[in-house]
Amino acid sequence: MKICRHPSAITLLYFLIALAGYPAASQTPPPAMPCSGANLVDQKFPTSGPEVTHWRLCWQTVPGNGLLIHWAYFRTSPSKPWMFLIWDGRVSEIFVPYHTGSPRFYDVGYGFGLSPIGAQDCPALLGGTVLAGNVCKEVRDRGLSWKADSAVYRGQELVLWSALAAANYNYVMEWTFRDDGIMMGRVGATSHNFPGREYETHVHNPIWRLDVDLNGWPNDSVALGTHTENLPGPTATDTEPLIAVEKGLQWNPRNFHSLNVSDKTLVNGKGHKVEYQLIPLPTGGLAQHQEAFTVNDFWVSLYDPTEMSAKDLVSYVSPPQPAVNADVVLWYRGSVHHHPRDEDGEMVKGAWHGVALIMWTGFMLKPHDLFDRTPFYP
Amino acid sequence: MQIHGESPIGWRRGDLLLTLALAFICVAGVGNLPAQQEEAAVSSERGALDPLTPEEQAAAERLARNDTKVKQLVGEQGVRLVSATPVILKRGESPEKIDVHQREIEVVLFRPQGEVGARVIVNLRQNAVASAQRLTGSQVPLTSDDLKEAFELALRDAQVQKALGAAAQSFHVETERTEPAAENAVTGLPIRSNDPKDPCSKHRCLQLLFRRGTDFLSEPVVTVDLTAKHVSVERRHSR
Repeated sequence: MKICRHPSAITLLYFLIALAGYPAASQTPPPAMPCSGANLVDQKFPTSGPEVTHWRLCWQTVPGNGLLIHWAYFRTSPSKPWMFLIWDGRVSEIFVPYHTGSPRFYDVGYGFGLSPIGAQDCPALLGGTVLAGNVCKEVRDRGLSWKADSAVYRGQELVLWSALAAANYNYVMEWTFRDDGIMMGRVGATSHNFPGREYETHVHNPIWRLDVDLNGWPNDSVALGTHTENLPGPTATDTEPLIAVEKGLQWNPRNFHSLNVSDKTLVNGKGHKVEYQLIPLPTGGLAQHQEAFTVNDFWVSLYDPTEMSAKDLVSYVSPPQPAVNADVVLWYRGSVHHHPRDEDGEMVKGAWHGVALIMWTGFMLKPHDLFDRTPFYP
Repeated sequence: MQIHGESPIGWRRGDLLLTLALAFICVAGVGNLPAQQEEAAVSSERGALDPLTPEEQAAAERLARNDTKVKQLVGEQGVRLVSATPVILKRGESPEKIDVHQREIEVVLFRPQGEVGARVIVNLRQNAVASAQRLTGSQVPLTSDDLKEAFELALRDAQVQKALGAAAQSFHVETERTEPAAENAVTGLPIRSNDPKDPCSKHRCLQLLFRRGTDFLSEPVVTVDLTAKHVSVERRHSR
């Protein structure tokens, strides 16, 4: 039996529906957002053709902290509900101790503003849009998403970035939202070496405060993703011990440590528990310093709107409160080890001429069992 | 069957489908219109986190300064505005329950004398202060006001004057980054010592940086203790 003897009419129907922009009957409506205009970013992927995945979020700029992310929602398909992921993401502090023990700077402790951004920073030809004169939005190819012999898919991403003008330094604060549901944060340190200490090694430690509210803020728990090689034997084990109370934890690359956030009620279409895993993306290493808040790389605390300052982390988790099925906040500290080199510049007539090329550190928030199947796979 | 053949009035099936499609789009469009209008109306309303207008900032600051509890915390004279930022606070158990157009502003005030600050949440819709919390000096970010004060203190220091030479008076405080970069600007970085014997382990201290055009001067290295009103100059030898 022929279903349709006039395919051209059906094609026309689909065309007209697409032209009218009418959403599919099962498409979930966009959630209300606490921002509008340029501060509201709504990005579907792929950027052309029918939607597969979708991000919707707010951004805000704040003196000192720079570029903040609020209310990030993600949807794995037009027919799936929007999933709340981030209440507030920010760089809480950038701690910069020098090797001789002094100075020790707190670069977010001054209400620094943002560097201006123009067409040179954020070229439209490469997918850039300048927002409010100091934020760049880029929507761009991100390279291979997957490849299976001759079958292949190139992924896309949305990137928001701005540059904190911290006296002699610029800190590029970057937030990336990928088509596969991964969210990333990076800080890049660049510009002029510190006057008077141009040749002294130092470490830039950005500490992110990530209020991850998976599926909303109640009922979230955090586990420490841990890989263990059962040496001297050939086997290995993965475990996820629950983090029962507020605490700080050290990241060990041999254990592939991650902070795995789950929500008591959130499962995917296969009934599997959904997780978002905070995975460090260090460049070279992570420093520890004398200050107590730098002893740990990860921290888990309960939400408190007055607890925003990384240098006070120890007091935030003391005494430790239960953190299971709760409203939790994750903290992660990255490090940029800056060993000055001639590429940074040179001394000319008592002034430093040249700039340090950008050095990055960051993390990713990676979904686990969020999709029911491989995204963007036919 | 009629449906599989020509219609009694001579329409072909393709025409029928096309008509149905157009009718569907029209009905759907009309049905969708109120929702679209509603979204447009909502989007024209300011979101809770949208940037403050100058009027909103002034109103938030005024409400904060006039609040009785805030006056008790920081007083009235010589109180500086550090920041005013739109915030959104969690209420209920899900984002859907939150009024995304609430207009709450976090105002941070600081009084240098006594080094005490306050974090004040102002509800602009209700024209009222929702909460006020005392801050210690170390909890309050430094601002261009502190930088101006630090530079004024530094300019009175003989060692700083000598190091900067005749150009000393030509330096000015850089409150924001401009293009092209201003000649002879001074900026600062908050500094904290780990040495308990160092006053800057407790005090509010700024290290000053002197920029000539786009390049930073290697000397002088000037630290200003804003709490003690003390200036120290370190002379270092470059590589």
